Amino acid sequence: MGIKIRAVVTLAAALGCSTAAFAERGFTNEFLSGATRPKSIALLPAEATITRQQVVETKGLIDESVVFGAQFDADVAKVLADKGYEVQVVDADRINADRALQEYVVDAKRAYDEMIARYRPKKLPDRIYNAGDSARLLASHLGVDAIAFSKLSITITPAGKAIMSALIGGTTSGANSMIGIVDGDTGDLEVVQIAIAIVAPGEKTPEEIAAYVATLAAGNTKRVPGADPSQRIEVAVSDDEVLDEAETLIRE
Amino acid sequence: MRRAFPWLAGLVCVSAASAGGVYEPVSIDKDEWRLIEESKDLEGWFSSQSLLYMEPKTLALVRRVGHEIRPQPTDDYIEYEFFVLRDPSPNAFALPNGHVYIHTGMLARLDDEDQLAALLAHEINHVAGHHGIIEHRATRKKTIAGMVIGSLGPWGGMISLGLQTSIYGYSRELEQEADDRAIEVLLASRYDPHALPDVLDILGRDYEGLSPRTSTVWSTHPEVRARAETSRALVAGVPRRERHGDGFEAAVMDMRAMTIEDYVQDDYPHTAVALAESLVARYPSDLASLNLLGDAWQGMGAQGPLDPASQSDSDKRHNLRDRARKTRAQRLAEALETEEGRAAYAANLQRAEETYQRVIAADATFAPAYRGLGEVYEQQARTRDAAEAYLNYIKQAPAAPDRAIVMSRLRLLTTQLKVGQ
Repeated sequence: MGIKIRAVVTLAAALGCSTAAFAERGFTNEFLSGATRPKSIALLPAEATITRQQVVETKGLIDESVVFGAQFDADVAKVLADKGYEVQVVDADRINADRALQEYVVDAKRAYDEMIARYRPKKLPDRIYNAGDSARLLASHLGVDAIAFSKLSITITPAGKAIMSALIGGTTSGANSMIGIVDGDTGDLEVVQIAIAIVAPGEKTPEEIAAYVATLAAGNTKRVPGADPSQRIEVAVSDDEVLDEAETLIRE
Repeated sequence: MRRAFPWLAGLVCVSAASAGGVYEPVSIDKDEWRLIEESKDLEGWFSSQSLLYMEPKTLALVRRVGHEIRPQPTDDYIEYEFFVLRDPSPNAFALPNGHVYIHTGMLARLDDEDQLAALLAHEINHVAGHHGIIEHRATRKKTIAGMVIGSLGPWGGMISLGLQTSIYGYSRELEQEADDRAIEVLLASRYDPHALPDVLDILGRDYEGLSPRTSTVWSTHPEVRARAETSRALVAGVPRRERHGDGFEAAVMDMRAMTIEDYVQDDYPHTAVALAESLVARYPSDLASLNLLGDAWQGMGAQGPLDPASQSDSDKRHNLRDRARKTRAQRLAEALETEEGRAAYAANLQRAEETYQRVIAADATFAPAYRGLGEVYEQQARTRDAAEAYLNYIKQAPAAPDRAIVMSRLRLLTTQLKVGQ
C-alpha cells in the first residue's frame, strides 16, 4: 500500500513539474513570445477521413468526409477569429477555380506532409521543420502571414467489431485531429496541436459525428494564444530601399 | 491495319480463364453497389483535396486515348472516364465503376501516346474484367483478422477494401491478365503493342535507390521487370508500328516540367536529374528545360551518383528509413560532415551553376536562371554574387509570384554585405 501511495505521489509530482512544459508543447518559443505569431492565417481544407469499421470490412464515408471536413474548417476558423486572427478559409471551390492557387496548395500540402511525417514534438523549438518555398509562395499568393494545415480522422466501430478487435486486435473507435501552422515568411513550422476524442463503440448519427468534429476543433485551438500584432516582428524596409541598397553594395 | 492475332487471343483467353477475370456482365449485390458509389464519391474527394489535374491539353489527351481504346461497358454500373491526379509518384489505378486515374508522375515518364494507350489499356482491363469486384468477393471470404488492414496510404483509412485493392494492386494473376489483355486491346487499335513492355521498363527504373514508399502495381518493384519480360515475349513476333509522339509532347510538356519541379521539391533529385536530362536531350534549345536541369542538379545536395542496381534490398531499406526519420536539412548536414559528401555537394553546385550560366548565355533575360544562380551562390557563401543574381531576377521578373521570397533573401544578403560578412 505504501509503495502504491509513493508511486501516486511521485507520478503527481512528475505531472506537476511537467505541466508548464506540457502547456507549451506544440509551439515554438517565438510563436509563444509573439515574434512569429501571425496576424492573418489561411486555413486550407482539412484532410478528413470518416470510416466505419464493419465486422468483416471497412466502409469509407467519402461524401461525409468532405462535409465534416468543411465543418471542422468552419469551427476552427470561428475560434481563431474569436481569438483575434484574420482568418481566410480557403475552400476547395476557390482553390479549384484558380489554377495557380491549386498549384501552390498542392505543392505546399505535399511539402507539409513530408515535413510532418518527421515531426517530433521535442524538436519543434529547435526550428528544424521547414515546409520550404512552396508554403511561402502560397502565403504570399494569399497575402497572409501563416498557413494552417489540418487533418481529421474519425473511426466508428460497431459493438461487435469492437469486441472482436479487443480479442484479436484491430482498429477501434476513435477520433483525432491535428493542426499545423506554418509561418508564411520563413516556411518554418510554428505550431502543432493534436486533439483526440473518445468515441464509444456503436453506430453514430450525423449529429453525433458533428459533435465529435466540434470537440476536436475546440481541442486543436484552445491552447493557441490570441493574436498579438504588437509583438510580431515586421519587415520595416521597403522593397525599393532594399533594391537600391543592394545595387549600391554590389557596385562597391 | 487492325490485324488480329489469333494465337495471342487464344493465349489471352487461357490466361484469363486461369486468373478468373470475368469479361461478361456481372450482377452485383447491394453491398457491392457501395463500391460503385464510393468509386463515384472518390472523384469528389479528390476534387475537395484539389488533387484533380485539370490542365485542358493533358486531360483532353488522356480522355481521348482512353475513350478510343476502351470497350463498350458490359454493365450499367460501369461508365468509363479518365482522370489525371496531381501526384508525382508513378502510379495509375482503375476503380470498379470505370473511373481510371493516372498520376502526373506516371504521365511525365512516358515517351509517347502509344505508351499512354498501353498503360490505360492495362487499367481498363481491370474494369472490364471486374477485377475489383472479384477481389472484393475473395477478400470477404477471408478471416476477420486478415481483414484488419492498417493504413494503406493516404486514402487507405477511408475507402473500402475493394477500392483499396483497385488502388494498391490486384493479385499477380489479375495483373498478368490485365497486361495480356492490354496487348490484345493495343493490337486492335492503331497503337504499337510494344509500348507495353516499354512502359514496364520505364517503371522498373529505380532512380533513387529506395524501396517503394507505397507498394503499388506500378511502383518500382522487381515484379514490374518480370512483367516487362513476359509482355516483351508476348509481342516478340508482332511487327512494330509507328509511334504517336508529336501531339503527346505538346500536351504533356508543361506537366513534365511541373513534375520535375515536384521531384526537386520532394527530394527525389536523381529522378529529377534523369527526367530533366531526358527533356534537355529532346529539346536542346529549350531554355526552360535547361533551367530545370540546373534546379535538379541543385536539388542533388550532397548526394553523389547512384547505381541502384548495385544496392542491396537492405541498402534500400536503410535509405528509406533514414529518409523517413530525418529532415532534408538534417541529412544534408550529416553528409557534409564527410569528405565524400562535401565533394559531391561542391560538384553538384558547380554543375547547377554551369547550367544556369548556359541559360543566361543564351538569353540574358531568362529570369528563373538568375534565381537559381542566387540559390547556388548562397549555398557557396558567395554573398555578393548571390545578391547580384537575386537583384537581376527581380529586375527581369518584377512581378514574379515568388518576389516576396526572393526579396526576403535579398534583405538578408544586403544586411550581411553591410556588416562585411
